[in-house]
Amino acid sequence: MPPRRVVLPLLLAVLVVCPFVLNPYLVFVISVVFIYTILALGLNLLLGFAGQFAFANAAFFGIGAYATALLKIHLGVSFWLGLPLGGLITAAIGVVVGLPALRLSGLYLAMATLAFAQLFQWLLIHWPSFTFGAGGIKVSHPGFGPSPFGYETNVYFLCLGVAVLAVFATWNIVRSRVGRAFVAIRDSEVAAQALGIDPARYKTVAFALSAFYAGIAGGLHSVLLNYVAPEGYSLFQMVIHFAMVVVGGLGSVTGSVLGAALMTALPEVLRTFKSAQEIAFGAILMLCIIFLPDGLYGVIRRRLAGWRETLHRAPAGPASAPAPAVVTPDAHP
Amino acid sequence: MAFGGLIALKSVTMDVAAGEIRGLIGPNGAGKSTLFNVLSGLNRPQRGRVLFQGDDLLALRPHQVASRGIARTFQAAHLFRGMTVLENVMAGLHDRARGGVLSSALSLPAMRRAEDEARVRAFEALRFIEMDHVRDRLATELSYGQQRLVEIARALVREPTLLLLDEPAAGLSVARITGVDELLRRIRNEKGITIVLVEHVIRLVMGISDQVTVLNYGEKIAEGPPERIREDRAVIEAYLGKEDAGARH
Amino acid sequence: MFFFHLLTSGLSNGGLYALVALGLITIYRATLVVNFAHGEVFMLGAFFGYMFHVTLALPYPASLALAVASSLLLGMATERIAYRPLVRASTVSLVLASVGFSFVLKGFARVTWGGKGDYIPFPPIFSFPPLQVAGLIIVPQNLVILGGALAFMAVLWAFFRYTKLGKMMRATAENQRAAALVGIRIERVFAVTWGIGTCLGAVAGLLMAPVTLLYPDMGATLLIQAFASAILGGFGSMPGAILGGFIVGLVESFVGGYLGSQYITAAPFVIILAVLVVRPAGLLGTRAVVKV
Repeated sequence: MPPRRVVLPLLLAVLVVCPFVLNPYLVFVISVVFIYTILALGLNLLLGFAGQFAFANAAFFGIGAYATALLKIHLGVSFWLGLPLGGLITAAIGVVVGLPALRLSGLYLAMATLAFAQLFQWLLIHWPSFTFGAGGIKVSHPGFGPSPFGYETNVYFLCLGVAVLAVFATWNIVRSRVGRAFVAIRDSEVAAQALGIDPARYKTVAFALSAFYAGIAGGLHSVLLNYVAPEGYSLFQMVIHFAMVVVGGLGSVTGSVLGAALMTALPEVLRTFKSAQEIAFGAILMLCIIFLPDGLYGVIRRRLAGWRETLHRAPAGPASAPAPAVVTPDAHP
Repeated sequence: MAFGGLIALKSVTMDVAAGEIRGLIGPNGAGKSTLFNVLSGLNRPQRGRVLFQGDDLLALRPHQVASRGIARTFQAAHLFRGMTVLENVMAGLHDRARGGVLSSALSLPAMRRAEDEARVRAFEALRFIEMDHVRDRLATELSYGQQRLVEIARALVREPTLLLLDEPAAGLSVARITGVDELLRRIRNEKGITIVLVEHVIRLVMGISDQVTVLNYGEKIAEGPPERIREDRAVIEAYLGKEDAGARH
Repeated sequence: MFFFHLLTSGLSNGGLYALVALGLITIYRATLVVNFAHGEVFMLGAFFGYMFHVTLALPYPASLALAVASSLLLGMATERIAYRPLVRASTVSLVLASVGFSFVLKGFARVTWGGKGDYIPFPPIFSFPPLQVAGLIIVPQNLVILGGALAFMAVLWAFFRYTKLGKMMRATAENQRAAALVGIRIERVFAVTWGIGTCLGAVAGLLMAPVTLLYPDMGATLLIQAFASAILGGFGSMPGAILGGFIVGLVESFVGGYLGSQYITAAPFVIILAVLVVRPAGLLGTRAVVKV
């Protein structure tokens, strides 16, 4: 297997050529893969690297999408400004959602963030004056200026560009002192504190970061579909996000990309099962978890020596996921 | 220091001089680990003060205490399982460096320089404890004894003023224990670091400490140079029980 | 009058939530696994009942018994197939696996009994006219549900208190290793625990079936309500699950009656968030003090 240095530029070249040789539907699907990659990277930072068990990612995705769309509709902000703004708004909300994480962990945190996510969906549906309710919002095409390509191709390249940036940024973060701080908190919060690492600060950073990624992904998604609606950010979405990260490989950048690709391709493939789609999806999910505990990245790591990510293997074993704990002020875990 | 109804420490006063090696011993449940937790900010006692270089550290969070120059190790080696040995030690330099998410994400030259520096210092810390040959192995691949040593390196790389060692010899072979003895001497002599160690291996503690403090049931029952402690009645009773109790077995 | 109606329906719903939450907590206490497929168990309980009582035209009591037996087997099979292989896995993996399983169960129900949007009516079992007691009108179905829920809780309590198996389960829940050391066959206890936990959910489904329409997605909402109940009462505490269940049922009822029915779906989430922010240990739970 040739090293990453060779494979990645080749892959990039192939992807650049795709919109000119594939049919529009496939181009659309690959655009979705790019968006999901960004999402999965963000979630992996929070869940895989920082070890924060948060169920709010689909909500962040939705907040980003709605923020970008509503900024345009209510305030006339152009998409090109609305996208980063939407990401920042989502990041700010991510910080707020992360506040309970400073006191809760494990399943309690999961439940709190799950409740938040569901509440968000409820709000989307029941606040029609602001969010236009269950019917959703049509999102207009942003202008691509001097670009000679068609709309779908433009969006494809936009998504590709942002995804590449996201992979690059994540790769760097993971191998920096910030990345080490995340893993330190995940593997032993007590030891991390003894090294001067402030868990509260880095948990907040992790939440903000993953929310930012999801928010950007949401904004992109809104212009890919030209439509945002509450059911797109439901619990089912949340399951897909988690599946991407777990099946791809917790705590690995490669895993995020692979997981995103797989979880986009899977529903397409499963369409052939028609009514048994749910059963097939659930069964595949269970089989992956039972037989591939380290995810797809784990398989790659074992077979292809050159691909080992230098840092941060996936957390494995019950020791890394203790029973839910409530942190009382004078007795830190 | 009380946990609900359980009083772990009842009024312990301890003064440690700079450059000293202080042993902290006592039977199980005496409150030694709790004392360490109080010192490093993990438990906050209901009353008392922790004076370090003139400042009261009691109100500080654990990571702030650490940044003041106090490093500690733990009974169960708390190495970060997801990292290699070198990365573990590099993590020890966290609060000595700067750089947030944005500069990390962009991989700015200043960040890369800082990373290289950290790598070099971590390597040197590993060399000091003679573990540099395993630096690229995952932390989980090491034996327990090796992990404990790496933990010490991770604490040392921070160039702390005070080093709190929680049972550094626990579970080690006799040969390794001698190694620990030598290592502690080198740490104090070559680096001038003050050491407080909790230990059950009496041979090690008595051999290396300048002074020994003995706890029992959350109270200090004796303090002084090792030779005196060895003969102290209260200490012997605490460990072996009174004569009659011994006879009943 | 209106208030009383809200009270009774709140209590009867609360009884159901309490049962489902109890099932969830029973499994959690012994195995430390939170079964995200528990809502589907409730749903299948109702559908099994439908299958025995309507499709096979068996009398209701027999259908009840058979449905309970089926879900007992389902629970034990789930434990064997889906959770035993994952005993060493991380929490995330377990959660995701149980979610996957919930899809399998939901899909199975959809394929067997009807697709999206199909609502299947279950014949009302106790169709007495409303009772009049001291000027208040009581809907008998609510009484039956409440009574049934309380009866099962009493049976469960007796089981844990007085039977050998119950005591073994309690021991395992408290300290797995110690239980194994005294000779308790942990695997067997796990299997039975799953069976009982699943049963409780299914029984709730069976009790509710006569007064509601059945559809494959009915498990999802119920899971949230069960979580809200368990968390409110103190996650891991069995009396807490019961207390929490009744409170959630009442809150939903009164919120729906006085504020508007669209707020009913939001109520469990608000409860969860409020509890976790203000007092994560819930009403009856104990705060964990973790030793370094």
